[in-house]
Amino acid sequence: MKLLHCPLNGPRNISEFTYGGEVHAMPDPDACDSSEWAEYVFFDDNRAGVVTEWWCHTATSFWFLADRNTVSDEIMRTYLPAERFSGLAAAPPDGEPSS
Amino acid sequence: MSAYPQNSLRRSQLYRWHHEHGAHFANIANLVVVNNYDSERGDGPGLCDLSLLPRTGLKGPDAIRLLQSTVDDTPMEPNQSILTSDDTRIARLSLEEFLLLGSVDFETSEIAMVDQALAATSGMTYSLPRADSHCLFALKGRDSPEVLAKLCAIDLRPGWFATGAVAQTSMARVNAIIIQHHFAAEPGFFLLADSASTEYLWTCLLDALQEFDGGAVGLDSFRTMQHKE
Repeated sequence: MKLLHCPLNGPRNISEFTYGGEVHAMPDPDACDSSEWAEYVFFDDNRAGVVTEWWCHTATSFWFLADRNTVSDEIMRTYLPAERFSGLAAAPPDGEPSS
Repeated sequence: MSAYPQNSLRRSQLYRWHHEHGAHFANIANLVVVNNYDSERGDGPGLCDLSLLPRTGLKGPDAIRLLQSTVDDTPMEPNQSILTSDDTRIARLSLEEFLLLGSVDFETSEIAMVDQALAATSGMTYSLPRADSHCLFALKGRDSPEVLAKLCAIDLRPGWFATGAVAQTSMARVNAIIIQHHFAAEPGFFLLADSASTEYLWTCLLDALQEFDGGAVGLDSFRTMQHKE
C-alpha cells in the first residue's frame, strides 16, 4: 500500500485520501471573461513534472497541498494551504512547487 | 431491576442486537444501557456499546478559549487527548476542533457545562454534537491493539500509540476516531464512527474479537474492573 503523509494526521494509506485536482490561481470573477473562468473551473494543465495538487484526508475532511511529480508519481512534500495562500504575492506560479 | 430500551425515547441503534443476545439492561442517569449479557466472558478483550454516553464537540477559532474557560485542562496538540479531573476525555481533533467524552460511569458534569457555554457564547465557536451523529464503543483488554490490527492500518500497540493518543483513520473501511484510554488498569480504546455504520462496525469488531476469545460486554464489567484495582 502506498503511503501519503498528511500534515495533520501523519503517514496514512493512500486509500484514505481523495485527490482534489491541480492548484490554480483563481481569476477575478468580476474582471475575467467566460473563457478564462471556464479554463479555471474545468481545465487542468496536466503537466509532466512536479505539480502542486489539492488532497483531502477523507477521515478528517482535512485539505492540504502536495507537490507531486506526475512522471514518477513521487510525492515531494505535503504542507498546509496557509503556507501558500497566506501571502498570495509571494506564491509561486501555477504548477511549480513552493521552495 | 428491570429496564427496557423499548420504553426509553433515547436508545442505541444496537438495542435489538443486545436484546437478541441475552442482554440485561439497567437504568443509569435516565438512560437504558446494557449491564451484562447471559453469556458474557470475562477473560478476553471486551467490546461495550457506549452509544448513549454523554458527549459533545466544538469547533472554531475561539473553541480553545471557550474550553479553557470551562474545563481545567485541554490537550495542546492535534490528535492528542487528556483526562480531566472529572474523568472526561477531551480529544483535540485538529487545531480548532475538540471532542469530549463523558466517563463510563455516566457521572460527568463537564459535558453539560461545555454545552451551556456553547449555547451562551457569541464568539467564533460552533457546536458539533456527536451524540446522534456517531456511535461510540469501548474496546478494552490487553489484546485490544491486536484486535484492531485486523481492521486498521495504524500501529496501536502501547509502544507506538501513547496513552491518550488519537487516530482519525479508516477502520474496516469506515472513517473512525480511535482514542487510547485506560479503563481502570486495562488498556483499551474509545471508538467512534458514523452512526449509519453502527451495526456494520459492531459486527466487524465482534468478528475480530473471536480470535482472542473476546466478545460483547456490558457496563458491569467496568465496575468489576474498578473493584479489582
